[in-house]
Amino acid sequence: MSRTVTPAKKRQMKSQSAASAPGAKPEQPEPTRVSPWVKLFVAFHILAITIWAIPNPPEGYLNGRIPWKVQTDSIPHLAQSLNDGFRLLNATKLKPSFVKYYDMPTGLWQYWDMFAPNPANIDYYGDAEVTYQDGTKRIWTYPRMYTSGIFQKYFTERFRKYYERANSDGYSYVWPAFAQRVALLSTSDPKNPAVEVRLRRHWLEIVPPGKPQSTEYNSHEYFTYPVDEVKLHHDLQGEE
Amino acid sequence: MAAIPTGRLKVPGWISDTWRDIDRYWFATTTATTIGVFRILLGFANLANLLLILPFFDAWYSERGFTPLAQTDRASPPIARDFFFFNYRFELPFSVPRIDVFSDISNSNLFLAIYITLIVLALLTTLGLWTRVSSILLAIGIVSLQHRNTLILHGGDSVMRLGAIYIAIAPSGKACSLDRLIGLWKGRLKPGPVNVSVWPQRVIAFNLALIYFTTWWVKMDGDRWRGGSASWFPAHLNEFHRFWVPPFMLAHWMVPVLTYGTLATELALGTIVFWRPARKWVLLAGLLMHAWIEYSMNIPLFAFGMCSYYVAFYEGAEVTAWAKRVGQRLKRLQLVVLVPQRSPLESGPVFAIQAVDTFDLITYERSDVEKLDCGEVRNTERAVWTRSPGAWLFGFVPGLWRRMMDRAFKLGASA
Repeated sequence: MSRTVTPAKKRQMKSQSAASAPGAKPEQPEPTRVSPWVKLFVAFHILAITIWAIPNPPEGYLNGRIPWKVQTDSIPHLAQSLNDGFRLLNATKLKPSFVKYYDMPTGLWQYWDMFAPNPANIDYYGDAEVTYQDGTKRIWTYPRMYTSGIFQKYFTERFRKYYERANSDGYSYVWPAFAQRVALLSTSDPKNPAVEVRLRRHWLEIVPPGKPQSTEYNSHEYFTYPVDEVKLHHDLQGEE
Repeated sequence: MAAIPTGRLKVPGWISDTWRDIDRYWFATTTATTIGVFRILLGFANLANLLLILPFFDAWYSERGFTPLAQTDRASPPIARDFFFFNYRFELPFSVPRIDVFSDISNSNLFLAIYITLIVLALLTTLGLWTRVSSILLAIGIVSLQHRNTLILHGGDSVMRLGAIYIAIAPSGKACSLDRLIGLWKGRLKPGPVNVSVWPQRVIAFNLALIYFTTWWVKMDGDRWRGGSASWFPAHLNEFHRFWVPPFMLAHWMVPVLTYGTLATELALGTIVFWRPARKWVLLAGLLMHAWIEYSMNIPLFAFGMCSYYVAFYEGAEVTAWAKRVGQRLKRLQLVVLVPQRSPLESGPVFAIQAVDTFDLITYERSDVEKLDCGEVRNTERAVWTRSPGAWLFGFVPGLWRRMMDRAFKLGASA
């Protein structure tokens, strides 16, 4: 008999409970005593996260442009109007109720619209024209996934997500900080700092299948920013 | 004068039976294995996510970055004090703050120190060490971090944030954790399955189904989804491109197949996944869908985070039984370890060593020798460690695994 380690020809089962033995029937949960308060909390939690996650109705209903009414002319119209009406009720009566004090502060808020209602069909990337104190100009390119390596993409995807928001007019309030950061990143010589940043977006619309697809990106300069030199000086020195 | 009914109101049998079934489904006991596996997967996802952001900490969380405090505060303004209940308006006498321990921190060094602490907490949560404290602090930290900068969040972040919260709420350190191993080792805990209330696991499963169902619901508003062309567009966005995609996957005839296949899979994952006969096939379809997205599109950790929730659809004993079935199939890896005569086989340390043998590959038997020689001891230690996934991480600590085996089985005593 070997004293070391030998391969087992016949597996000996360890002493385990019957419930966890291989081939045993899937466990049937046993009844237990849970406090009614816990049950109440679970019921409220389920309700609160569901209210928050239910999709909003089409924009027209929310801003009051389209009055909601039940449509009975056909079954699809009836179903659609009930669907819209339920979501309108949720968005205007339930979401603004006290459940927001449960979902919003605790991080349980959630709204799921990945590639929905329609997937994006516009490819964006951004860059900036940076003017330096001596009058020279240079193009600074914001990290772009398409030109990044496979490994690098994993780390920098968040730049794409941020730019998806930061390039749009709805988020114009982020543009000054964005441009200031560009000035910091593109200043290598403190004696010749960036003095002006012009943000540019480039986009390509993906056309539906079967139509001729252009490969030329459109470009637009959307923001000109005179650099805050005092802040740039502080940031270059790493001061808080 | 009308007769006043007496006696108790009788509830029809089917109502009380249904109520009992619902109560049992949500609040029965189950083993903690599922919740332990969920903790490892989502803890790791959060750890990886924090590490992916770390090289760009300056860009996203400092006052000289793209998103200084003034910008992020504007992106997530204070929660309104007034609320409505149907047509009645109420106003709170105070404002309810978001959980955000970083809200007033503009010092980057302090922020970075807390961020690194958060990475350590994510590691501790993944390993299951001081789980109760580390998981609660991790959840507070992750929620705070995401509230600090909402401008950079994507769907995967929400999946990981919710996962961190559920780990903190659930008894997630009761199984598959270092806490349990230490408890077994010291004799404080007994071997065998640990029973816990099933409701945290049910809430996790419900939340996952809610994700898929509401996503499907929003998509039904989109004409590209209804018309069958939706999958064409993301597949052609250069900024999402990851690996080479076979041409047939981009062919025109494939577009409606992928579009309607996605809709059907998401609807199934939001509904019939709870029906046990369909569960395996629905989850398999979900795995395939996410595997394809992960391969073809650059959306880091989203697929991993989503698929990690799938385990919540399985009872703890099912997960354990699955691991044992895998172990039975791995016949070439099965071992009988012959330990010296005086080795105790019922002690806490032995239970701890057995607990890390995830696939139940090793059996211990007493031999007729007093002690093993040095070479045999090393072989035994190495063989047991390589077959014990639960020990892979801490087994790297020099000398630790050897000392554990020696103390458990007195293999070579002072050899």
